[in-house]
Amino acid sequence: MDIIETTEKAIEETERIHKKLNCFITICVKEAKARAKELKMSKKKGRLFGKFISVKDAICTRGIRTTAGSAILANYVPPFNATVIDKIEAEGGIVIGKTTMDDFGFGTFCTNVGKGLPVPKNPHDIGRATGGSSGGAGAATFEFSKDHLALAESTGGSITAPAAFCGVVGVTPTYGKVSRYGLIDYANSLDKIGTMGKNVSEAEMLSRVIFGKDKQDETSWTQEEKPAKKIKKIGVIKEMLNGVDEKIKKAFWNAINKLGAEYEEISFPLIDYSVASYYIIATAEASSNLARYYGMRYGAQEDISGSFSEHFASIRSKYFSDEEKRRIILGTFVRTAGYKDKYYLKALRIREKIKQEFALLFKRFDSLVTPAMPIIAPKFDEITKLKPIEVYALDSCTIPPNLAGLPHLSIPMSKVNNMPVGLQIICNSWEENMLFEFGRQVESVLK
Amino acid sequence: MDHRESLKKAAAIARIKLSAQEEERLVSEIDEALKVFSKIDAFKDYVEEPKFTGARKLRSDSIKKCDIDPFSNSKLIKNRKFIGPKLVD
Repeated sequence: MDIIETTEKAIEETERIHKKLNCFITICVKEAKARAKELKMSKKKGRLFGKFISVKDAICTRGIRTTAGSAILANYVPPFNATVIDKIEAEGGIVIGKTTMDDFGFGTFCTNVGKGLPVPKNPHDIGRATGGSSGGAGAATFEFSKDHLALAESTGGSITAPAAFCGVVGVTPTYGKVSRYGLIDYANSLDKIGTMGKNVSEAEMLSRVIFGKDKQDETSWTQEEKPAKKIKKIGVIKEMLNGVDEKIKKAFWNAINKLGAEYEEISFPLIDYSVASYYIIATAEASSNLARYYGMRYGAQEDISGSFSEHFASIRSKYFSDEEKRRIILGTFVRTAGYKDKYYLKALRIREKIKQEFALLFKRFDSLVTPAMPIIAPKFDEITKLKPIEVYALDSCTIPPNLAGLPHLSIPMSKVNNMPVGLQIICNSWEENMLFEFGRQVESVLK
Repeated sequence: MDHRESLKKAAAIARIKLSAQEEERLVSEIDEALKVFSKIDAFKDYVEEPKFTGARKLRSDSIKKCDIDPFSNSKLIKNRKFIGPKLVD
């Protein structure tokens, strides 16, 4: 089959998967067909030729609606591509659709989607959530039969959570390894574009295409990676097992024992501050980033009525969801005079200390291993009963490596109550070679 | 410590207008979250202020023709200017 025929088949499969699981906000039928024609005529093949890429809807795609999962951007059409999209297209990849997500990345289950946008369903049990915020990416990656890779994004665990809940591999690279140019911001010091695939090699294939410094993102960097070496000693952080479901803990220790590497349980008390530190920093940055959505240059707009503040407040109040409002207010509060030192500056110091402590741990261990999530994918009605603070606490496994900007991946390790559970592998900054090599070893042992 | 009044002020600063019901619900939820986050008060280690870790050299400005239409996502435009509400009443 030539690329035009395989693209037609991929579009049909995308539509079938969306009908079943609500994974997509936009299916790029016209654009994918046009791209296939271009590729056939150019005869150029790259590393992603024949691959169909779903893109989390926080990543800008020229001429294709990009909502960031939010009602306030429901009709936004970017006039430019994110750098990662240009890289994918240069290597022959075809963007097949934009996947569902929690609004601006604000969520653990992919249920905080903007009004009118779809909530994705878990492919293992459609009465359960996919995990968030890259929920559509996780569900689509599991359900596609072949030749699909997903581009996703993580701030506090938005790749690991859906990868674990949907039973696929999710890779979050070192902060700065991938350009954020064209990524709709949640928190600039925490956001990382990453990938998902059915296995480590597939996720790595897409990762290697998008890595690299970009002049348009001054926080991106290229650093020579050390060659991968055999994993001799792994660390298990005791505090990251607190609050984990007992069946998941049992599956975790079974997996550790199968790996055959020497391991040591270590205490890292500072981890107990990581959730608080993360939410203070992330919401502080988000409240600043979301100030740009006020109904003038892009996003939801209405006829002008009232004064400067009244008009903008009415647009923002109408189109932002409860979770968006919650995080904006919290993030504004922690930056205000009288509270900035107690919350925001203290949280920054905690993050710096956590990074330093991780650096010391990596002098003793080749990798750190934890459960990816403390629970299995919850049912939708269970989620409605949770208070916001209870939801935030469920990010306890994913937040620490995200806060420290460390590369990590989630691999399916087992099933609990017929739902997949993931193993999270964390390596030192810029050691993606080690991460992928260890990931492949773990994958072969746990199959 | 109850932060409700300060949270209502923060909402106004952020240009979020809350209904009475929203105010009651959201402010309570955020206040509850802040009580939990206040555990960071117990962190006493001294750490230097975080150093800037971005590029040490800013790229030079280069002016080139823009191929992006800055007005493509707005309907509130006139004579290639954005239209907004009055700044001062």
